[in-house]
Amino acid sequence: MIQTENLSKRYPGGHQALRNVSISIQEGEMVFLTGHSGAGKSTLMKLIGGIERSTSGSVAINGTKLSSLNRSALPYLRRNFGFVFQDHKLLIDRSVFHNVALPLLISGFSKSEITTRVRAALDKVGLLEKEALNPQTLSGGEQQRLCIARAVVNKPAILLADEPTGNLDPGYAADIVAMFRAFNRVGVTVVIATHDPAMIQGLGARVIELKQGELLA
Amino acid sequence: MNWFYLRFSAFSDSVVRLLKQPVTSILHILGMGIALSIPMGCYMLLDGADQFARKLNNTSQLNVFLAADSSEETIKIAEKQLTEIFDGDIAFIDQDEGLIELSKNSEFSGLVKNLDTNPIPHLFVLTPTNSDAKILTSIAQTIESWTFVEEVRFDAQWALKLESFIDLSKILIMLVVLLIGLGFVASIFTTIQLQITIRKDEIEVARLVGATGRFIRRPFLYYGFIQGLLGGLCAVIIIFIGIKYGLNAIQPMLEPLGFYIRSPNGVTLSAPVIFSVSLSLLGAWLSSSNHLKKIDY
Ligand SMILES: Nc1ncnc2c1ncn2[C@@H]1O[C@H](COP(=O)(O)OP(=O)(O)O)[C@@H](O)[C@H]1O
Ligand SMILES: [Mg+2]
Repeated sequence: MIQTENLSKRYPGGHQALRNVSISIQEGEMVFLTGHSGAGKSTLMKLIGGIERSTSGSVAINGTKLSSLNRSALPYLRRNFGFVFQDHKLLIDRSVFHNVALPLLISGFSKSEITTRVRAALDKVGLLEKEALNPQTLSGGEQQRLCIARAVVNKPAILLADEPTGNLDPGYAADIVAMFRAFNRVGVTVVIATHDPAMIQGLGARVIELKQGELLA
Repeated sequence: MNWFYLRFSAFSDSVVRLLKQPVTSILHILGMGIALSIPMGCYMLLDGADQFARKLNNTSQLNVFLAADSSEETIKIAEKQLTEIFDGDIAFIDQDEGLIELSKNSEFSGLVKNLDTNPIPHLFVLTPTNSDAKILTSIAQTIESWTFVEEVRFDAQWALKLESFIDLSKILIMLVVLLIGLGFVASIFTTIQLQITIRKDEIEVARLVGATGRFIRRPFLYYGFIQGLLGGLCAVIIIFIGIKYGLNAIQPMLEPLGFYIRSPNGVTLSAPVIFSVSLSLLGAWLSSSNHLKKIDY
């Protein structure tokens, strides 16, 4: 489902963030991407999601190379993904409900469909009773869950989560991992980037480790 | 849930954003209206002057005076040559007729009685069917070069000058309109740029969750459209007020001269609106494209 070949990324300014990374992730898999801070995890996630452009090498989603897509096709590709961003990227000028509604609105869903789906997604992450609040009034863990609700509301085939347990206390982190496992169980391919070894333990999921931009065998 | 759609339907969202900064929006729209109404108003004035100049030309006549003691023969030749080069009404007033005309004028009647010989030359009065002052001038020059012609009097010389002045002014107005157009594009460009800066996070997130360029552009195009439309309508209103209170006051003075300012019709009124809307859209499009290019993958 996700295939990268000799993927390299050099940021403007010369920093080589990724070097010749070739990985393959199957449909329905749950994979952890680990490594120290600065290893290139976020960069790899962005290249997979078509948010950054690679310097060399290729990314293919369901056999389609991103580099072969033209600019206008990219938005439609992104709709197959659910992103949980490291920095949340919540919009503080609108309610919890409208943050989650945004991807549906963009995809052109009807008003009633949007309402149903947003409520369902908020329910899954336990934020239904907070739909009218401003995201700024939520706790760190709640903000993270809101971000997850927005990522899954589109029923994406692939969920990409970058440090989803970032600054959360361990109890909260376990809740969130459990949530991802639940999505994975219903068929969503899940890729989670984390520098926290505790998160991975005892799950039996595949682990891909990066070190200074290179794949550790 | 109405608020939901108010919030997200891009069009009403743009209206809301305009209303959120009422003073800025009103000043901006007023600025656009004034900028547009000035060349529009000038154009209408010039158009009136143009009609006026044309009318002067049409009523103007060429007076061709033959040399004194021209023979019957010469008169016939003159008439023949005139019909060849001149399109219009040709009237011949011979010297006796001229003298009678003159004596009708009480001032000259005494004088005329005491004359031994008739000092008045034969005269052809040429009235052009429809002619341009430039063509008439060249005809007058040709006629004047004939040996049996004493003098050609052509009173539309200044009308010709007026006409060239009007032509030149029209070109100048076009240039002004062009500059104003550029100004419109630039001003909408920066306005939209500001809107984009305010909504930067929203655009970024929208892009990340799969918004197309069209989806992102749409509210800004609406914003440009509304701004352009209101600016154009403002120009129309200013022109209307200008005509109602300004021109109507001076029209009575101009009327005896045959100088009319035509009331604006649908075409003259829609021109500033179309102009303003299309340039505002262009500015908005350039501005949003510029931003999309910057954030794009
Ligand atoms: N936009 C950027 N511009 C320049 N350098 C970057 C940028 N993003 C990341 N980097 C650099 O690339 C390397 C990998 O970063 P990142 O992929 O964020 O690592 P991780 O997520 O594993 O901590 C780091 O050294 C970081 O400084
Ligand atoms: Mg990172």
